[in-house]
Amino acid sequence: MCQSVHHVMKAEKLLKGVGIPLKIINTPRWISSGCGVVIRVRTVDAGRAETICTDEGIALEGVYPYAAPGPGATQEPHRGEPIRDLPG
Amino acid sequence: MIYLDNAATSYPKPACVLAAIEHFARHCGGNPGRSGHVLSVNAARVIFEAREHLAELLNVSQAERIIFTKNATEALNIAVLGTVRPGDHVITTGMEHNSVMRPLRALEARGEITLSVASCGSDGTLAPEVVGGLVRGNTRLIVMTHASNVTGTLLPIEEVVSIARSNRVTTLIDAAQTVGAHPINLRALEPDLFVFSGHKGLLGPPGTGGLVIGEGVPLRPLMMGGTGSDSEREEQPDFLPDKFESGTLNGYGIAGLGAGVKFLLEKGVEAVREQEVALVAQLLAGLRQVEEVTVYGVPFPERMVGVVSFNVRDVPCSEVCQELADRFGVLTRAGLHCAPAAHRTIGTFPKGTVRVSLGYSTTEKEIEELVDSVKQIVSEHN
Repeated sequence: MCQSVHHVMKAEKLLKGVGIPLKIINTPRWISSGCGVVIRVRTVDAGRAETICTDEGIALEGVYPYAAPGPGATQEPHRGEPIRDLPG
Repeated sequence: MIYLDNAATSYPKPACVLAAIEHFARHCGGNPGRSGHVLSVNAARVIFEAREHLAELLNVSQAERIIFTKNATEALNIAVLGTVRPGDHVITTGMEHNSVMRPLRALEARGEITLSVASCGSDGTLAPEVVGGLVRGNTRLIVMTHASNVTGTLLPIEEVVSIARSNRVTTLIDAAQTVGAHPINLRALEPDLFVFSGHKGLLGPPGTGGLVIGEGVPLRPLMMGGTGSDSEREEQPDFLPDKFESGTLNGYGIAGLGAGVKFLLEKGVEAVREQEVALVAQLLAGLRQVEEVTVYGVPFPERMVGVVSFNVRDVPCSEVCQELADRFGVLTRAGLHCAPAAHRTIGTFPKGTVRVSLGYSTTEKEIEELVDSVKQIVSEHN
């Protein structure tokens, strides 16, 4: 998740340039209720994608797992643990 | 038809600009940054690419410091009104356009600022030390044009930016007449605020312009609203470019502007400049052959952009301009060119001048035809 759509586009260009598969999607409600867009990458590429973005000065708000909360969970945004802290 | 009114807006736009606008309308018609669907994402990509092209052309290290506005006037208003505070002193020059003078005069009339206008020579030139001599303890801002829209005279922005920096004064450069026609290197110049027109030298469509904000330069937005980002918060985002780009952007226009900038990157601004200097030399030489014609500004093409003002004896400029258009198909502009201050400086207020302004596609033959047309008008008015 980037600070602005300009940075999402910049990240897209960089990551595509090094062959990391990605998709631009609506910001998942459980990550943020903001109406913007984020970049979705495979978990296996997340660390590398984050390093590339950070090195190029992209303002990253965080890297989060794409995992919707279960039924009955709160509708409030909760971003979960940043993906880099997850095991494996 | 010979179009010589490029200082108002460039014509014709390159075919790639028209194609980019159509492509945007057909394939990128969404609202950039608002959604993850294909039309919105495609639109965001086009806006991103336009910003990147501009960053390359102007040598700006971070493209997000380039803000899109609807024209240079809007960008100048954001820069002036977002910088000054009550009690500030502002300096400008005697060659400015009303897009600079009117916001400054309004602030002065409300008693919010005091204003000093640096005197320029009757040829439109500015001695930088005149600006330096006007700096006071409470001077917040120096606003100046890079080149006059009346005489084409280039002003010494490098020296003034340097004077301002040593006095810790914010600089605002109005480059409406130079960007795309004169090489610009913002990494070397380092002004705090830099304004460009999108539809003149950059060859984009009307409705485009922008502001480049120096790194860490404090500036308040003029307009606030939806940005597609940070929507949880009811406060305006503090990051660029979103802080200054509330509301839906002019996607069609920016698509065309991006294509215009790419066209210039391929052609090379240096090449455009070289061609323009040669044509200005031809134009000045041609007009100066005619005794009844007075040409204003400096007589040196390398110290000008492709803008030349003249009058035919006591014939009203509006009449000469109308005859050029109606009888010879040569399209120019007459009057004060929204720059009464500049006309006072060169001694043509309130009568005005006929202004000829060149573009990337102007040819030697067109200049020749203009000069011949002026000669014919002169002979008939004798």
